[in-house]
Amino acid sequence: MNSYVIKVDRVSKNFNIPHEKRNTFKEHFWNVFKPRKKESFEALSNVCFEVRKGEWLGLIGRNGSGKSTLLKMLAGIYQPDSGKIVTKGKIIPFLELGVGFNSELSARENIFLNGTMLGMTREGLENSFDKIVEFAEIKSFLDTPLKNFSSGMQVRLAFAIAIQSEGDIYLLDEVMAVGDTVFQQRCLEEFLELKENGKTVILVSHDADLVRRTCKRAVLLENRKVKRIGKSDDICDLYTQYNIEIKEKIKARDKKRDRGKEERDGTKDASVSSVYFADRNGESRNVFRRGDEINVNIEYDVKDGVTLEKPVFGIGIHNQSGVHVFGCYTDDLGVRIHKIKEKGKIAFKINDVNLSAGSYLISIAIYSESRVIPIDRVVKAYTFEIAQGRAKDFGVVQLSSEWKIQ
Amino acid sequence: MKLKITKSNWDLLAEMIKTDFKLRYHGSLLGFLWVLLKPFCIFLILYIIFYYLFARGDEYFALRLILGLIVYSFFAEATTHGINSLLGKANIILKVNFPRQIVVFASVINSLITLGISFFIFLIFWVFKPTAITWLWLLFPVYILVLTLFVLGISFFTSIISVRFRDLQNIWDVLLQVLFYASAVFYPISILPEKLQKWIYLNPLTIYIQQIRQILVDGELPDMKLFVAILLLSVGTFILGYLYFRRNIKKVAEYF
Repeated sequence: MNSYVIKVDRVSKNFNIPHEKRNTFKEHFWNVFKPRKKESFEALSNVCFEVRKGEWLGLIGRNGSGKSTLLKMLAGIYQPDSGKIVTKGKIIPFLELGVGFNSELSARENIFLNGTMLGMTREGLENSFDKIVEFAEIKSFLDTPLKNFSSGMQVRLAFAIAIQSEGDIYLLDEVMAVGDTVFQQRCLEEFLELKENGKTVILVSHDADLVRRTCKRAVLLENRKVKRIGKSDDICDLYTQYNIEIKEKIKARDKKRDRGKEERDGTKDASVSSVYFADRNGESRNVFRRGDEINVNIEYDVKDGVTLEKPVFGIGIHNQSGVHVFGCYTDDLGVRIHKIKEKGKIAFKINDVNLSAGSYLISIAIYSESRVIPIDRVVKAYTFEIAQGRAKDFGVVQLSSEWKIQ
Repeated sequence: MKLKITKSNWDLLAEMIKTDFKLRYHGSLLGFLWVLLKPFCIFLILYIIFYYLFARGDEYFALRLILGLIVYSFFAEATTHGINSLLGKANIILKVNFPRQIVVFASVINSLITLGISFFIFLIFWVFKPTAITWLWLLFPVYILVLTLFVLGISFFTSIISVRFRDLQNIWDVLLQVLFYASAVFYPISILPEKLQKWIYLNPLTIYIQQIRQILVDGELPDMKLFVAILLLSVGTFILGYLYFRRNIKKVAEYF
């Protein structure tokens, strides 16, 4: 089990992008004495990892982090500039579906054209012909030119062909993002069958939840480097966390720009200066799983020389669709604050969060005792995320519950 | 890259050839007939123009013209397709990994099919004006094979080079025009000034055309020294081209 089927060893790749594209002789001759300005663009730098037989490895990262370049190198389309890639077994790339499809030819002809391109033999294709046709649901359109197919039918056909190719290692690049939900489900089932048959799969996605559901291990690529390799749960949390940070950064930038438009009101005798989320151990984070403890730490400043008597703090949680999921004030829970001045901290603790997966927007408010006049109210300004578990969540909340057969 | 030719590689080659062939005249009214009709029309034009100028009482002028045309057209078509073979399949090459040589082979073999069909035109005219069928006719496929190796060798170079220098296609078109006039397709070499007559054999295509005419029309054994020369040239070009192709193909994907 320790033997690897893919070994990526300190692989780097640069692309040279000429500033002025010289593709014709004229350009070459007229500019022979001018040294060509080249910009070297680093697509991947010093990437190392191994994949064992039968393993599903997730490869996640933002756009431009080098995922696709890496996949193309695994498929043997690009060569690494330095380092080595060793692969054992036949590789089936799903980089794009329907490669070489010709719209003038009939579905039948395209099956053989595309199939042989993916490395199948004519004989093998004839044997699995019925399966392909059935999966693609195109039985009555076999001799129709492909140009008369809907794009959905084309994708179905392409997938049906590709899944028939027998290989040892499958490279999947966001292929499941196509087709209707029924078809996606069937694709997923086919892939899971690959898993049962002990095939090795590298799954590229920026959908962290898909990776979490299907892969045990994952690689996070960031800025053309491997940021971390590890258990897919951890990697996906890290990735989500990282995305939230970027979102926050963008939001902070936007906030600076549209300072006036911010949804914030109140007398400003006191103000919320910072809000951050922490886990059970006090470690700051934005991604949580169901059942986790969440500590919402609120820091506030009180105007110089002002002392506020009996203020009330409140928190509101909204989901992405704007539904007010939860709200709570200090006095609701019997917490009475005598007075506050200068600056201070208050924390709101959620014992075990039972919200469905997704991101949540938090509002924080400071009110006067009567809860009529807001002193500072910050609406939907902070975000935390509940990561998807192994199963899909339905509904807004996940009640602590069980089934009992009687 | 070690080249392992598998069954699926052969099947892919066959599918590519089939597809290219089907698509060539796809959608045209006469379709497949054009493969026959086009060379025939060109032949007719040249025959009408040059019969009075160059026939000079040669009763086999038509047969010679057809043969010259067939060989030249094969060379021109195959090399033109060859130059374009990689660029034209860029969308596939960037997505799946298969031995790229297949693309070049497919484009050249397709022209070979055209040549085979055009040979029928020769046979039709031959029926009206038969020449003696001798064992020399067996040499015809040998010549075509050697020429095919030559074309493949050239295509291995040009397909790679044209990815980075797109002008090559245009330059090649001009070169082919020059070659048409320099290959004695439509005139007998004897009309050239004596000084030129030797030089024209520096063009390998002239040797192919002349010697094929000798074996099919005149029934004479051609000059074997010249044959060995073009044989060596073809094999040499093929081997060098193949090596060049193999060295450079991996890098070329980045330049599409």
